[in-house]
Amino acid sequence: MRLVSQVMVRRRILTSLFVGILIFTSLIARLGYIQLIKGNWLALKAEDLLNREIPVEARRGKILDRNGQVLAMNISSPTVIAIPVQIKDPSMTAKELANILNQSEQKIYKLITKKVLMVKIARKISEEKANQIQALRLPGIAITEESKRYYPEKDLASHVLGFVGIDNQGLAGVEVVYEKLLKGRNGSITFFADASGRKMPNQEETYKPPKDGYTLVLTLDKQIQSFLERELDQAMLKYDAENALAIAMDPKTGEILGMASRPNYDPEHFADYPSEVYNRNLPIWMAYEPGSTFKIITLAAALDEDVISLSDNFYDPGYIEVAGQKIKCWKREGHGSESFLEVVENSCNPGFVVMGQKLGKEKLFQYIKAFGFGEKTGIDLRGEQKGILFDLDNVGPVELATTSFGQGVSVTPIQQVVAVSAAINGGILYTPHILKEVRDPVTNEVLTVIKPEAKRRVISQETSREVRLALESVVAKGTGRNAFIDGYRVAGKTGTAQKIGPTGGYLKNNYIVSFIGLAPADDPQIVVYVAVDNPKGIQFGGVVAAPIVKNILESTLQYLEVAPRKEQITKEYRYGLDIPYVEVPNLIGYSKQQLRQNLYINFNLEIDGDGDIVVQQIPKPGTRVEKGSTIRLYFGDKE
Amino acid sequence: MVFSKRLIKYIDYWIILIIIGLAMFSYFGISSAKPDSSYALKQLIWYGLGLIVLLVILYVDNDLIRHYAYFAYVVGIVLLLGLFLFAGKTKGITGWYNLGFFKFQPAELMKIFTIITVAKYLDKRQEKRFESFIELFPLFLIFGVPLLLILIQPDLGTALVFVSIMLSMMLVYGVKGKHFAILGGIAGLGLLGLTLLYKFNQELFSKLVPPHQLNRLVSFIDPSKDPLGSGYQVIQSLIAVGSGQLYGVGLYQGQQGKNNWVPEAHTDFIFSVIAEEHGFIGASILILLFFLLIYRIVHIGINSQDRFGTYVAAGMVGMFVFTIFENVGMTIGLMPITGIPLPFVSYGGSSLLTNFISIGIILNIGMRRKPLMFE
Repeated sequence: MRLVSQVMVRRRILTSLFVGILIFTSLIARLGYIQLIKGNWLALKAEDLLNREIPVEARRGKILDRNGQVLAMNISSPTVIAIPVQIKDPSMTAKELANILNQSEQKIYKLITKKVLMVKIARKISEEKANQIQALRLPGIAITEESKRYYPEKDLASHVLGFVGIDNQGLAGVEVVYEKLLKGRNGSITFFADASGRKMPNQEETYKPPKDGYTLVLTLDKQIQSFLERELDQAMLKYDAENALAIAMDPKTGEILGMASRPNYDPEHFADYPSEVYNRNLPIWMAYEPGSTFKIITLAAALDEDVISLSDNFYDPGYIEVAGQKIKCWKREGHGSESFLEVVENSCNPGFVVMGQKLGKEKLFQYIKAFGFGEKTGIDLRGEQKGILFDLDNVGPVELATTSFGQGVSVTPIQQVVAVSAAINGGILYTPHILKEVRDPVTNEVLTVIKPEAKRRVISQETSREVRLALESVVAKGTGRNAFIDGYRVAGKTGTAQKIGPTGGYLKNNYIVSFIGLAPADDPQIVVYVAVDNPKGIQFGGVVAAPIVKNILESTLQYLEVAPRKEQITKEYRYGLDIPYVEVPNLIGYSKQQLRQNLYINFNLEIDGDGDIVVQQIPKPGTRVEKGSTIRLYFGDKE
Repeated sequence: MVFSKRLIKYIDYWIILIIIGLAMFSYFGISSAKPDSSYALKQLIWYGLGLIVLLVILYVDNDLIRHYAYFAYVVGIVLLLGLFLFAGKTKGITGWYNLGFFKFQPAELMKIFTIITVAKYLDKRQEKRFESFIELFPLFLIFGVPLLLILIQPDLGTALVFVSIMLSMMLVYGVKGKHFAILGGIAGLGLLGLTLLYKFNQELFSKLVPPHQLNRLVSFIDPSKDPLGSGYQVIQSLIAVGSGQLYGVGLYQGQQGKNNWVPEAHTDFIFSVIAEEHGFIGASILILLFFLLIYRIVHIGINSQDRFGTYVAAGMVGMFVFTIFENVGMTIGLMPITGIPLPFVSYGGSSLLTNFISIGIILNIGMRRKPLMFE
């Protein structure tokens, strides 16, 4: 009896062993679930807890002009950070900071009581505020430096350069197009931290040095750019225009030497401007009817196809009849009998219609497309438009006629500059570009050079030469005479286009007036295009835009030290409109008596210095100046 | 002289081997969790002391243990009562006498005293069954007094160990299923009462159940509810265990323990450290070691020459199984957090000595088994 029950007891203890097995199995099962199934995820979480990474900011690459002048760089700017565990009195700290930073006390309190290692409270604040905060000596609050993008020339070339956001990320212009090159790669200091955020002893911290962004050298020339900016500012003031834009390009490479747009903005404070101001880089964004500047394309095509010769005769009665419709010349009474060269000089619409008709729509449109219209030029900037051309199937005689003189097509300024460059540079169409070189930020070693990219030959060398001469003639004798610079062989073409309103019809008294100029005509160094949108008062390209281009060209050619030319088509003077150029005589050695005897009616004389004899004069003898200019004479004693 | 070469031959060397294995886990676990401290070394010293205690117990005649069972029980109760007079609070619990060189927790010893007392009481009853539930009252009294004294310290974890010991011993004695059911019903009613109390009289409830205990239960159910507060320990422990994956991150490569992400990493949460460093394989080996230990204790219980030995073994099984389950379970989110250490592995002299005493008593029972049958 007793033995049996002993057996019973033994059996029952085995039961408890089974309970044990059950319990231990459940432990192992749960362990397996956590370690083998959820393990990966949990391991990542552990890494997050331990790894403390303090980023070391890479410096953003500088942007230079073609001569190494700084257009965009970095300056350090103070940033307030908090280390929450070190803050003794969060509410007092929040109150003090809120006062100085003009921020909500609650917001700061929330930030500085976060359970994190470090938190940024206010970024890129003024030096003055940083000093105030520093002076408070709040525990757990520190000032560090963050780099801030700085544009030393303020709004110069702002649409080309673009701007950056708070994290120095490129948002517009070159800053965003070449973000990858400029950005560099952030480095870091990584260390392991314990539960209270302290650095763990015996753990090596790893330092990954940042890689600074590359220095970008642009094709822009700061000096030429400033000429464009200066002239556009004056034009905006003088004509109270809606918009204005200018492009300067090297026709033989496609390098953009200057590009400007009005209205303008300061990249450091872009947010203070309406978005359409900083988002629209007009020289590549704006598409409109080019007007007469487009006639260069028709001319080049007609000469290249040999359908006309510049010496051929043409009669303009003041209109031309196309498919029963009278298309008027801008000069109502007509230009009468003229050569085709004079057609170009006079910008005579019927003459160009005839060129178009002789070419036929297929040929004309083939040239228009070859010159790059209807497609993006491929410039390395964002927001480029491609314009609109007639669909060849829809081109009837009227459309062919209007296209010939630049109506009914929509093109961008950059397309015109690139196309005209091809027409005058010997016939090669280039892709325009802004970036010239990529350099190492430290050694300044040139890493990449962007070479001129020729897209295709559009017209022959000979045609191109003829176009240049015709355009020089336009400036010397025709509608472009306001762009004439004595000795520099300026060539060019005016343009006046009526704007198209939102409903599709032409707007009344609302024009975009433009001028495209180049110099010197025998070996073009630069092409400059200027357009003024809706100038008040005078509404002709030759009157508004030509002088602007002239000023830009004059400054630029002198700056580039382009030698003045001896042979040029002499300007035809129209009295009342034009002032002739005369040579300055040598007056050195003359006495006042002698000066009085010779009546120099051509000049005003300004006299300076005591003495009897002219010892110095400005301008120098032999210089050609406009009639009626002032000559300064310095008097001294005979040696 | 009861202690002879013949007896030594019958010592369960499996258990000794298992303890050596656990000692290794303990040493490496503690030195990983607290690399800059002397805890691991101290633990080895405690192991040394534990072995001496074990040898002393082996030397004592089994009958002597049985003889002084009731006396030991009374001494234990007095020590538990004395806590409320002489001991301060440690981590909110009135559970330790601070003896300067080490903190002594009478509840640990009381587990053993209660086991041998109940074993003696059951052995005296012979195989007479508990016919009615009322007859179980002496048993409830023996368990109930220390359980209540520990519950008001308040140390829920250790109190639950007592419940587990009681259930295990009742099971082995052969208490009727019906009576278990009644007991379950009473426990259920008690919980219902507490729930109602929580609903209608929170003030009184919070006196009975300290808020931190309630928080532990709440965060057991949903640790993410307060990840930086009471759920913090569970989440950090899970991250540690999980990042061990199959092979572990390697000895001394664990980060969660030594950087204080897992709190109490060298004591209550040492399993997290081991699981992180040695992975599923290492942690499974540790659990297997514990299982082998239980198996050997059951083995000794089965082969015991008398019922007393079997009952003691049953109590020990109940004690170890629940303690291990609760401790490991809480580190892997299977059980709510309570402050009970992992036997033989967690750092702490009081707990280690108690465990050595328990094993000493079991080994003592084991080596005095069969020979008697052949005398």
